[in-house]
Amino acid sequence: MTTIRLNPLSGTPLYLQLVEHLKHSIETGAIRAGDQLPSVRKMAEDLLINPNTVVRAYRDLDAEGILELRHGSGVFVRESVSARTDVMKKAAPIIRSAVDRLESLDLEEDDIRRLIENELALRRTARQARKRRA
Amino acid sequence: MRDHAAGHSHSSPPVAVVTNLTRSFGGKKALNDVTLAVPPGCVFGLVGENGAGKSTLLKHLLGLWRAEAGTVKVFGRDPVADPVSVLGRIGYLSEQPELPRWMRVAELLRYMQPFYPRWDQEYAEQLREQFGLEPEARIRTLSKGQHARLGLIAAEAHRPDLLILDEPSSGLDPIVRRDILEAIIRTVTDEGRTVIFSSHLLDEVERVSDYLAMLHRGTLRFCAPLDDVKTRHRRLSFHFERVQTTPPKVPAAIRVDGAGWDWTIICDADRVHPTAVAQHLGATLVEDTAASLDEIFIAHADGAPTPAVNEPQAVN
Amino acid sequence: MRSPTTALLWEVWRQHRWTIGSIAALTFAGRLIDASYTTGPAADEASAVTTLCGMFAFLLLFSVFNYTDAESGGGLGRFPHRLFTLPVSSLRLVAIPVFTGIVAIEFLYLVWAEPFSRGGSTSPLFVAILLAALMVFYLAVLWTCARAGSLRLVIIGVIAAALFAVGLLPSFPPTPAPPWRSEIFLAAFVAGLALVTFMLTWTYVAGVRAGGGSAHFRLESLIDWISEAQPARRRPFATPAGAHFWYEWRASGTVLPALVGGVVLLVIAPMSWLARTDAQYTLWVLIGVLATPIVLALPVGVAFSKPTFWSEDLGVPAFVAVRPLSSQDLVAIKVKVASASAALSWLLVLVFLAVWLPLGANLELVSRLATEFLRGHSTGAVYGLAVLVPVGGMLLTWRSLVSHLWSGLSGMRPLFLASVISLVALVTGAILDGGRLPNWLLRDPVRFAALLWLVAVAVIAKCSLAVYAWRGLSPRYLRAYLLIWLTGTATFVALGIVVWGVVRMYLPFDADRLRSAVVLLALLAVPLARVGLAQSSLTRNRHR
Repeated sequence: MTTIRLNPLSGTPLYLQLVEHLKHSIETGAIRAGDQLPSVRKMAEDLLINPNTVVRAYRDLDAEGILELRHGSGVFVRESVSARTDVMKKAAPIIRSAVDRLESLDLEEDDIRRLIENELALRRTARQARKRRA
Repeated sequence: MRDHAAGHSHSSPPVAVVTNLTRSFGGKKALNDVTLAVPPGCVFGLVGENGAGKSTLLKHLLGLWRAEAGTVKVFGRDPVADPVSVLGRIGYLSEQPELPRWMRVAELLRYMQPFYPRWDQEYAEQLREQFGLEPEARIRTLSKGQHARLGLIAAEAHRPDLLILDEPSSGLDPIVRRDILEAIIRTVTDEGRTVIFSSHLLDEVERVSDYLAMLHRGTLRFCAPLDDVKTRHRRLSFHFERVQTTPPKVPAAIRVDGAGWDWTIICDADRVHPTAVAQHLGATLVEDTAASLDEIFIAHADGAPTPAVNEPQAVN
Repeated sequence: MRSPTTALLWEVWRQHRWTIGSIAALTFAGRLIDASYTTGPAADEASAVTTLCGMFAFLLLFSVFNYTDAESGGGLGRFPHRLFTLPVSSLRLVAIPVFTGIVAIEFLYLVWAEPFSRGGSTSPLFVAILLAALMVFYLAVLWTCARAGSLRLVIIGVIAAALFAVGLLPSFPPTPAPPWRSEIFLAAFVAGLALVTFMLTWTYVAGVRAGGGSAHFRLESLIDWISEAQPARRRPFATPAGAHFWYEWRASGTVLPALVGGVVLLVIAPMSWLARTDAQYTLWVLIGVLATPIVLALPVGVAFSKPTFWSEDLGVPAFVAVRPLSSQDLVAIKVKVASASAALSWLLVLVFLAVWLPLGANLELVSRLATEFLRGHSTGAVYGLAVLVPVGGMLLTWRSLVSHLWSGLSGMRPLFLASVISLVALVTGAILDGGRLPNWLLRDPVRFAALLWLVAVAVIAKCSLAVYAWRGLSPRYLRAYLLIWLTGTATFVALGIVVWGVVRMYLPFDADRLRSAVVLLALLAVPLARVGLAQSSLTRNRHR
């Protein structure tokens, strides 16, 4: 777990970085369904981040149905996560074909990355603006 | 598992409350009408450039300075009037710990013990071994990093309700800085214990803080939960058709930067609407992103003296 | 600059222009006064002023030759390391300040030789050699014992006292002096010692310049060992006050006993051995031993009254200010440490007396004086007196340590300086004036009555100030301190009356009036209000 490197100065909030990393670990099989994740305290001490950040990441993953927060026992990966892995497996070819199409337009790797990030950022901003107005 | 600070802090009173605090040294105002409150159980980060007043503010909390105007209350008491009960619950680590140079490491720990009823000698010993401090070594033979580690043990071993760290990492190597961050996280994961720390190293502040307050030349620029600070500061980049010889005037912008065709402003997201501003200036909006903590810091420290982002608020 | 030597000397001159100017001014003034008033009615005062000018001139000269670079922590420094990068040999770097210092001190002595050696029996050449040696030792200690910090001043003081004693040796009993105690032999011995010291210092500085070698580190660890040869604290502390007492004791309480021990061992003991056959000198040594703690407590008390003993800074260090101890407790602990310090110093003196008096002393004169003075009194009174004298001495010592706490702990430098200067003025006035002022006052009944009224008013003022000073403090401390004050005052009153009873027969005027003056002065002796004020001073300083 300590091999996670979080960069506080990048644009992404720390908890999101942690969420992404945990998701990636689960998808690649480094963490399997039913495994117990380190406690909030241990995770925070290992990564040197505020425990609230860890709590938020765990909560988000709980809401997404990936983790299960069992009171008193700890944090576990849900059994149903394997279903999600399938979804991710389905997503991979979609990405592959999209990137193929972009490369055929003679776009470089950096351009492609920037386009995807801008698109995600715009959607995020729109989501937040909607949330604020709500 | 700890509750998120937003809902938790309403129930218990703030650990430290500073109201309209003013203090001058030789005619120059070091703190100018500062009001803030530190909620319990959080990590409260205090940033500002050199001479902004961070150390002065922290020393007021310890009773080392007396307020000229305004009040300071820690645990509900005045640290100047009642030092014994307040200081017994505080652990303090300053930039240069200035521990007595003639004492030995073990003697220092034994000396500190009776002052704090909750002193845990085993925990202190465990930390001492972990940090590699020889018990018979004299403090003056310790390197700067070891000195800081010893100061950290002395501050932390009695599990204080409030841990105050005044630029503890300055000039220290990354391993010692890591030890300090671990101590901060250890403290705050114990229920109800609070950490206030001031630092220049923004990445450290960003990693561990719940709340962030910034001082600039003695005034409080903002004091809010870290996430709020980051969402409310936005960085807008504009591209002009014609070269601008003077910086474009954007009301409620905290800082305006740039040259020629391309200009960037840092602003409060609540007060500034990006497209409206673009129309008003007659420029195209190139980028609208969240400002990084570095940019926020520089904007508030260097920018024109515009009003602060938030009204300095007590508890969110 | 023509040569490196000139450049280095020019630097010393530049840094200390004003001091050198003051030395010149003092010398000029002193010689002028001395020349104008050699004979005549004001001769005594003139000689006193001249002596004062001379002393200050020499002290200032030593401050000019304080050839060190201050370290970051402030205070006295070490040999200027920045000179190491100059293309000058280490021998030259060391020799230039040493030789210049010797030349300067000899020159100053030359100018002052006439007033100083008038009436003395020591040859000027002998004194000149001793002074040169003192300069060498002074610089050597400054440079080699840099680790000892301000303790160096203590070491230099002891060396100066030792050299002074050496200067007195030839005229010591029994005269004529045996060959080893002749001036020539002693001069050669001291000169040889100075030369060896110079060589060692040169080796040391060269070693430091070369980056420190094994010899360098050996010397430093020896000094470490000497300056802190105290056992490490092993047992846990029961109370915060106990822990802080240990801290204050280690930081400031051991200085006075160490100084007293050093002086008794290095100066008084040899002198007592030399004087063992002569009754007159025995009396002098006895008085010297009894006076040592009281005299040494005066400068130590000035340093003790500051929040940090060895530092010039009058602020409360953060380490102490953040302790969860009330300011009252902090002051009470300082007072307790002062008591322990005074008690230990007197214990050392008493141990020395217990060893020396039965074994080596010629007590003829002492016992004769004692029987004469104490003729009428019972043995009980005599034993009572034997107890009162050390207790009174202890109180006097303790008093010097404690009476400046109110100004030293306040953090206000002008206040502290004013109280130190008034002490210095009082002491020098007492030394120079001798008995003239009391004589003048006591002869005329009108003046004496005025004095009595003045002292009575002072006592009333002291009591009212004490009430004001102690009003906010805890009753426990008030009770404890009142007990101390009453005991101390009673001791002084008893001692005063006994001394009065003895001395009255020898006084040329009516001494009965003197008794009331003695009682009133005893009431003023023990500080009451000042200790109470110390607490508010510390509170103000701790929370600035």
